[in-house]
Amino acid sequence: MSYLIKNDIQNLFVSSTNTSSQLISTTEVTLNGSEVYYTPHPQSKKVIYEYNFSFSWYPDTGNLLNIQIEQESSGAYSSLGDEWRRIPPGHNTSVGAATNCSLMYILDPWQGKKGTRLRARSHSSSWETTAHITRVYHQSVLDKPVFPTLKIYSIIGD
Amino acid sequence: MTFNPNQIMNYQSIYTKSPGEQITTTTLQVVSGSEITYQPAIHSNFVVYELSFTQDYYDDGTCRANYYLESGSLGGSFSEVEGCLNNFGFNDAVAKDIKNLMFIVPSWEGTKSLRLSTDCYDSDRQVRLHRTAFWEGSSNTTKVNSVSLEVFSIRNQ
Repeated sequence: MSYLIKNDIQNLFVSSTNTSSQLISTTEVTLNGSEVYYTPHPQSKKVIYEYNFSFSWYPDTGNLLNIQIEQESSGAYSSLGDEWRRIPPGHNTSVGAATNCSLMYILDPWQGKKGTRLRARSHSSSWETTAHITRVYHQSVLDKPVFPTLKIYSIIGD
Repeated sequence: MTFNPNQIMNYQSIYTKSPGEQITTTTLQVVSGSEITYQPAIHSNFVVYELSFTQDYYDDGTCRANYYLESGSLGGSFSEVEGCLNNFGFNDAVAKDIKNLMFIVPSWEGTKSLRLSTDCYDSDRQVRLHRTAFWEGSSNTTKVNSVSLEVFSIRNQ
């Protein structure tokens, strides 16, 4: 007798990237630590992609970002395209917008190994920010690295 | 010996339904519901620590809080884990937010404790945890918010 495992997590992969800070300006960049080459489980119904990163108020006091998810095919990346997969985290404050962004995408599975990554830019040159650092550490204004984290896994079942 | 790569191992969770309200100060304090004593699975190479809680402005509209993941041996002192920290900062923004943190740290042998500690920049930039205001049309109406913690081990391949 054989059994089909359903509603189970398979092919889990995690990473934490010791990365340098990254200016998010009007030129779109790949968020450090967001790129992963992943093979879904052959019986997966969905692939869950989760990414968590921090950003702080430098060079601008507030921030307004655009983040979209891209996937690679035969070496070329393209946006997954859906408007609802474009995320605009932003904070309008006179000084010191700093927090983290926790993103989760539910993707259709694919065959074989493909790259997935997040691309980010600022709304304008007045809303730029720096990712992967804090600007306050204990009671000091001090940059400290914050490692971005990534989790990707397949869901088997209905 | 065999083991299962790329799967969740030694999963543990803590749900704190009604944590007491906490106000950040310049002195470190442990975030309620964030502490766990954990032994990673044998052959794992990473431990994933995921914590969800709420934060709100306190007293005035400006917030400047810090969060630090700390680890410690049983009965020993705690120390910060490199790269596992976070800020919450806004000026005159009456900010409130759900904090979803995911930290991934190298695995270890035996039992250790993990916890999240917090402080704030100064007494004019405090943050209130686990209780949010502005419910039912009134700033004076507040709700208690729960804290969720999940920890598990994994061996990446």
